[in-house]
Amino acid sequence: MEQKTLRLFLWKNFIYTLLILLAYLLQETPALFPPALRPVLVISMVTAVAMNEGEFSGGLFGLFGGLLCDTAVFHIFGAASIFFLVLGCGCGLLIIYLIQPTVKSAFLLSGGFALIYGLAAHYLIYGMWGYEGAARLLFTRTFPSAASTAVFGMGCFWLVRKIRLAFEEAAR
Amino acid sequence: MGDFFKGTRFKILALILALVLAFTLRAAYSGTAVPMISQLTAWLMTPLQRASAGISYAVSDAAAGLFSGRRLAQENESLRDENAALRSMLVEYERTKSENEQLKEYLQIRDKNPDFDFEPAMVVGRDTASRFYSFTIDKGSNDGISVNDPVITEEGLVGLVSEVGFTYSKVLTILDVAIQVGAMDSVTREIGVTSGELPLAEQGMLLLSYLPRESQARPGDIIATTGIGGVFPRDLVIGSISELRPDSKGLSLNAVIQPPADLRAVRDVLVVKSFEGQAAPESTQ
Repeated sequence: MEQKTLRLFLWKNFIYTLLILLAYLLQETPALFPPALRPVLVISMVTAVAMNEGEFSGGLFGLFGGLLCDTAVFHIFGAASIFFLVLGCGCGLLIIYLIQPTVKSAFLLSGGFALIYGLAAHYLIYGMWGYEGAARLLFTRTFPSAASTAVFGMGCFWLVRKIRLAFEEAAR
Repeated sequence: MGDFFKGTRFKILALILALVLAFTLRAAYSGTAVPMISQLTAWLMTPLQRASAGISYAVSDAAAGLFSGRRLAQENESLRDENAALRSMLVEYERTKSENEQLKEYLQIRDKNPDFDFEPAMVVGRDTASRFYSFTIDKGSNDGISVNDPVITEEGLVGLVSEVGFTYSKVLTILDVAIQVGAMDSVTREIGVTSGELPLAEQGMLLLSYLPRESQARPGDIIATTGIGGVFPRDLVIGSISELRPDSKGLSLNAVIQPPADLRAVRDVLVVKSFEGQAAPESTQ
């Protein structure tokens, strides 16, 4: 790899790392979003990176985002890392083989992944223990959170695509 | 897609996945033990979380101050110019006043409870998956905090430390179904147990169970901790009764408890590191 190409590659991935870090900080910051509409911004950002950079980068950045989320969540350490790694890798493969990388796809993929994540968390934390009134939370928290994640997914995709195109231009 | 599964990249990702899975199984097996990698990540992230939480609080305070200033300006048109100048000062004043009041209240708590050894902490993160408003604070084992330490505010009990890292701790609120607290009606002296319930937790309330069927408890009665068990100090306010209802079998009464502070939006807390009558750590597990 040429020195210039290597330098650009490292810078680009450094910026993606910062973006995921920023997404995590915003997602975890109290009082920033209403509880019912709190987006899982790390999912939006990992999806955007995977859509632009493919399955390998998607998987690795997914792992990074998952590790961050694992420090904040109250379930077993590692569960989010596994989910986000598979999410990033799967999203990259979907874009390569099945889906066009468009803003609409980013909306659907971010929302879809957030919904799967929310449903899995809901089942593992509440559903399987049979808490009274747990189903209501799907409508008051899980679905609205997935919807807001989908909306932010469009913005993240647009931003990451701009960054990727700028680096591709610089490499020419 | 077959090419991907035969390639080196897939093998690297599969290897990483296997390693993370091994970490996860170890964490699940060891119960409360937090893997080193989690400690390290949290150690790096806590200062950043503290900064972002501080900015977020400052912005919401400023917005509240601004709206208040606008309303006053409409009511007092002749003083509009003066209000505009005062508005920007008001935000700083409110912040300083709030800090001052908080410090005074901390001192009052210390005066009322000389046996308490506590550590002030700031809420720096909230779990997006938790429906019981669990949160992360910016103090950990470096500050002497341990698992099962009670967490309070000047208004009453907030919850319990569930996990401790070097620079952070995770706190389960009393709205959580996993937290049960021995509680007493301060008027009738009847004893029950409080715990969370999902529909109530969404409204920031919790349930007091096992009151006698013929209980004299009334809405408005203050509910406080009994101190039995040595996990929570005695006489900490949990809340007041907002509603009484018989349990599903009609054998006892349940009371819906409204905590004095909104636990869904708590910002600053005190962790009680030790108190008179505290049980030894191994007996509280």
